[in-house]
Amino acid sequence: MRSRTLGPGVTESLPSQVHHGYPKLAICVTVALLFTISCAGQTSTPAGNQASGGSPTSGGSPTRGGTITFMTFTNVSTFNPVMPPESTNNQVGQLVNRGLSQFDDQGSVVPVLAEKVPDPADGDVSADLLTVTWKIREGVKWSDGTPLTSDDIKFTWEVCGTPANGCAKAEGMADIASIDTPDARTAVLHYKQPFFNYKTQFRWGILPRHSPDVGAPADIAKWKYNQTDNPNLGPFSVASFTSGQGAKLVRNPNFYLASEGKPYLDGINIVMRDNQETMRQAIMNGEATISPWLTQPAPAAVQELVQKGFTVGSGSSPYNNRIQLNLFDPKDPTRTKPHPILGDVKVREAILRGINVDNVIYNWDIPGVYQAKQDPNRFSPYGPAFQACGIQPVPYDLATSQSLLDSAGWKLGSDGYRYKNGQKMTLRVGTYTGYGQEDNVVVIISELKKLGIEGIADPIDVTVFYSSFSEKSPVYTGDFDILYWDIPVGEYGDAQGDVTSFYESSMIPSASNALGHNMNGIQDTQVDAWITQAAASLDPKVRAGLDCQILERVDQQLWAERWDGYIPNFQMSSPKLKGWTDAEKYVVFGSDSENWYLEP
Amino acid sequence: MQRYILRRLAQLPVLVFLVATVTFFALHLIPGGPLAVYARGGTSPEALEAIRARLGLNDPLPIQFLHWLGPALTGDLGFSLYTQQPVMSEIEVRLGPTLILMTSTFLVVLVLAIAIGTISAVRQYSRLDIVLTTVSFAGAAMPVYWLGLLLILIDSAIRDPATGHPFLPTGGMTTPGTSLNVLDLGAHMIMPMIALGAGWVSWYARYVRAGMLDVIHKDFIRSARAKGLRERTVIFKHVGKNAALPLVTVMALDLPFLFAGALFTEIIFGWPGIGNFFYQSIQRRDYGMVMGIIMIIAVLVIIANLLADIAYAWLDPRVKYERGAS
Repeated sequence: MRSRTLGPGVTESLPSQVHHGYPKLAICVTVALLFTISCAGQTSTPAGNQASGGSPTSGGSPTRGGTITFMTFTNVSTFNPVMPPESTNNQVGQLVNRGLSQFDDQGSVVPVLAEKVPDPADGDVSADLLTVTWKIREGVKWSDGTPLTSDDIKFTWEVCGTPANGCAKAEGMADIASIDTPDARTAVLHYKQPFFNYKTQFRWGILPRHSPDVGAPADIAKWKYNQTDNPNLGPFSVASFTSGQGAKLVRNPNFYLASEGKPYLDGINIVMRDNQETMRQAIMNGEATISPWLTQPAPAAVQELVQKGFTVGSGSSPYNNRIQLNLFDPKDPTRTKPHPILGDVKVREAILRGINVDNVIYNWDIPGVYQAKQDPNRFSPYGPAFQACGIQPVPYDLATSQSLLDSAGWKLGSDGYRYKNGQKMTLRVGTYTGYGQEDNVVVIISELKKLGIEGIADPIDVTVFYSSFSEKSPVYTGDFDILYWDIPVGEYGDAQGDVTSFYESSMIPSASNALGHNMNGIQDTQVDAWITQAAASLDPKVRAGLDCQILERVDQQLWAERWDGYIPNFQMSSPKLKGWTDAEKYVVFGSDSENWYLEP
Repeated sequence: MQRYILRRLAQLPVLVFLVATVTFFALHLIPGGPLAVYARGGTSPEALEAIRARLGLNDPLPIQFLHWLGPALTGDLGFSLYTQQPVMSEIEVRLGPTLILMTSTFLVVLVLAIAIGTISAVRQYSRLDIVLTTVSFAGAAMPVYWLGLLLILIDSAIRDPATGHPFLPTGGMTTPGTSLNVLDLGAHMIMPMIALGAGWVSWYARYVRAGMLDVIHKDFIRSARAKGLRERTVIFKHVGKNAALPLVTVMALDLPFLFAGALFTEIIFGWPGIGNFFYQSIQRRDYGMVMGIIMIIAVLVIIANLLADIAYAWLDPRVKYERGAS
C-alpha cells in the first residue's frame, strides 16, 4: 500500500499500483467460456427409436395418457373457430374445434361431424345448387354434454351471415338466404345464389347458441367465448387461458370419437416463443413436445434435429407463391397507361421463361427433410381441381428469353445490362418482410441478371403489403413492377371466387373497388368471357375446365404471372410423440390431434 | 415542495393529452393498417371491408381520434383488434410480468452496482478494482440478445444427471401446466435477469464509482476521517449520500424501462411482458393497443419522474423547487 505525507504525523493511504497479473485471469475466463460454448453445441439428446425426417405417423399401438407441450411462435388470441386471424390460431383452433366436414390429405372433402358430405347425386343438393341439406352425425355432443343440433348451424349463420359482424371464416355465409331445421339433426340451407364450396362451408367449426359466453352476433369480436371456447366440439377443451402466456387444454370427454378412446392424450399445454432458436432448444431440452411451424429454418439447424433423433415433418402449406408482372405503369394512378417495360408481352414472356423456378423453390430444400420436387402438383394453385388440368410450368429457356428481349429492342450494354432508347432495363422486385420471402427475391434478382435485367429488391412491411388500397399498400395501388408473394388459396373445391377476384377486368383495385385482387391489371375480353361462362354453369367439371383455360391464358399467353409452388411448412417434435400428420396443403395442422399419442 | 408537487400533478392531464394526440396521428402516418393479419389469414375481401367500416377505419382521422378519446376519458381504452380483448385487460396481464422482471432486476442491479462501484472507488487501482472494471466493461459490451442466446446454450449444455434436462428452464415465466409459485418463477427469472442486468450493473457501477471518486478526496471527507469516524460511516454516510446524486439522475431516466419492458429479453426468453407485446402491436398496427400502452406508460413515467425529483430534494437539501429558489 502506498501512502503520502500530509503533514507532521499525518499520512494518507493511496491505492496500490496496478498488478499486471489480471490479463492471465481474463484469458483463463475466456478460454473456459469458449470451452463451455463448444460443449453446448454437442448436447446429448434423448434418442428416439426412430430417426426420421419424413412423416412421423407410424409407431406401435396408441397408448392413452400424458400431456404434451405445443409451442407456437405467435400469440394465441382466440379459440373461436370462425374468428382466428392467422395461422397459429387456425392450428390451435384445430385442437379444440371440429366442423361438419374437412379436407383429407389428398384434397377430398370428408365428413367429420356430418353424417355425410352433401352431394347432388344423393339428393342432398338441388340441381340449381340453391338448396343444400346437412345431416349431423348421430350422438354428437358439445363438451358440456348438450347435443349438437341443427339450430347451432343456424346460429353460426346468423352470426357470420352479416360480413360487418367480422367473422374471419365466413365464406359464402352471406349467400345463405335462410336455414330450416325440420329436426334436431337436419339443417336445410337455402341460398340466394349458388355457392359452389358448400361442402366445406362449415369446416372450421360451429357456434353454440346455448353457451353462456356468446352474445349478440354483432359483438362476436368481444365474446368471452373467444377465449373460453365453452362449450366446444374438438378433442380438447380449454381449461385455462392467459393472453400472452399460453393455455391449458384437457381431454373433452364428450368428443364424438370418445367411444374409440380418442383423444389419446390427457391434455395439451400451449406456450408461445417468439424466437425460433429458443423454440428449437426447448424441443431439444424436452421442455416442448411439438412445434408446428418453423418459418424457413436454417437447414443445418433442422438437420441437427434429425441427426439427434427428433422428428421433423415437412408438408406443403396452403400458401402458393407466384410471380406477378404489373401490366400498368406504376406511376399512373389511373392505371390506364401500359408499363414502360412490362407492357410489352415479349418482355413478360422473356422474364417468365427466363427465371429458373427450380433455383427459387429449391431455396427451401433441406436435404433429407424436404425437397420441392417431392410434390408433383406444386404448380397447381387450386388443388385437385387444377391438378386435373394438367397445366405444366413453362420450361426454363434462357436462350429463348434473351432472343425475345433482343427482338423487343432491349440490347445488352457493356455493363451486362440491357438498354432501349437510352433507358436501362431496371425492375423492382417486391415482396413482404418477415417470412423469408426476401431470400427468394434475392434469387430472382440473380436470375434477372442473367437476362441482362437489373433487379432491385423492394421489401415491403408485411402489414403494409397485406393492407388495402386506402391504406396505401403498393400491392393494391399498383406501385410495383414485379411482385413475388403468396396467397392462401382456400377454394380448393371450386376456384371460381379466386379466379374472378384475380383475373376479371372489373376487379382491378381502386378507391371505389376495394374488393379487387386483380393486382397486375389483367384486362382481357377472353378471360372475362370465360369467367362469365363459368359463373353461369352449375357443373363443377365445366367450371373447373374453364378455370383451367383462364389460368393457362393468363400464365402462358398473356404472360402476366406464374405460380411457383407451395411454400413448405416444417414441424418438429419429440420422437416420443406419434400419430401426427405433417401435410398442411389441405389439412390444417392439429386437425388430427385426437390421434396423437406418447410412446411409452 | 407541496406546491411544486401539486403543480406537477396539474400538468399531468395536459401532458397525457399531448402525448395521445401526437401518438395517434403519428401512428396513422405509417402505411398499413390493422386488418393485414386478417387478409393474410384468408379473410374474404368483402368481410375485410365490412370489418373496416364497422370499426370506423374509413372515417376521417380527427373523427377516429374523438371516437377513441371519448371512452378513454372514462377509462375505457378500447379493444385490441388482434387479441380481441379489452386493452386494459391485456395491459394488466402483461404489465405484471414486466414489473416483476424489471423491478427484480433493477433492485439486484442497484445492490450489485453500489457494491461494485463502492469497492472500486475505495480501492481504486487495486487488483480487485481492475477485475471489477474489466468485467463491468465486458458486461456493457455484450448485446442483450446475444448474451441471452449464449445463456440458453450454456444452460442446454449442462444437464441435471437425475433428469437429463437442463437445470434452468429455457424460457417462459412458469412451467406449463403448473400454477404460479415462487420457486418456479425464480428459476425462470434467473437467465433473463442475468441477460438484462449485465450491462445495467456495469453502467450503474461506473456512475457510483465516478461519483464516489469525485467526493472521496474532498476536504470534508478528510475532516470526517480526522474526527475519528469509522471508515464505514465515512463511506456510506458522507461519501455515499453525496455520490448518490448522479446515480439518482440516471435511475430517474431509466424508470420508464421498468414499465416499458425489455424487448430483446422478452423475445429471447419468451417472457410474457409488455415490451415485446408493444412492439408486436405496432407491427400489427393494432392502434387501440398501442394507444393504450403509451397512455399507461406516459402516466407512469410522469409520476416516476416526479418521485425522482422528490428523492433528489431529499438527498440534497440544497435543491429547492419553489419559485425564486436558487
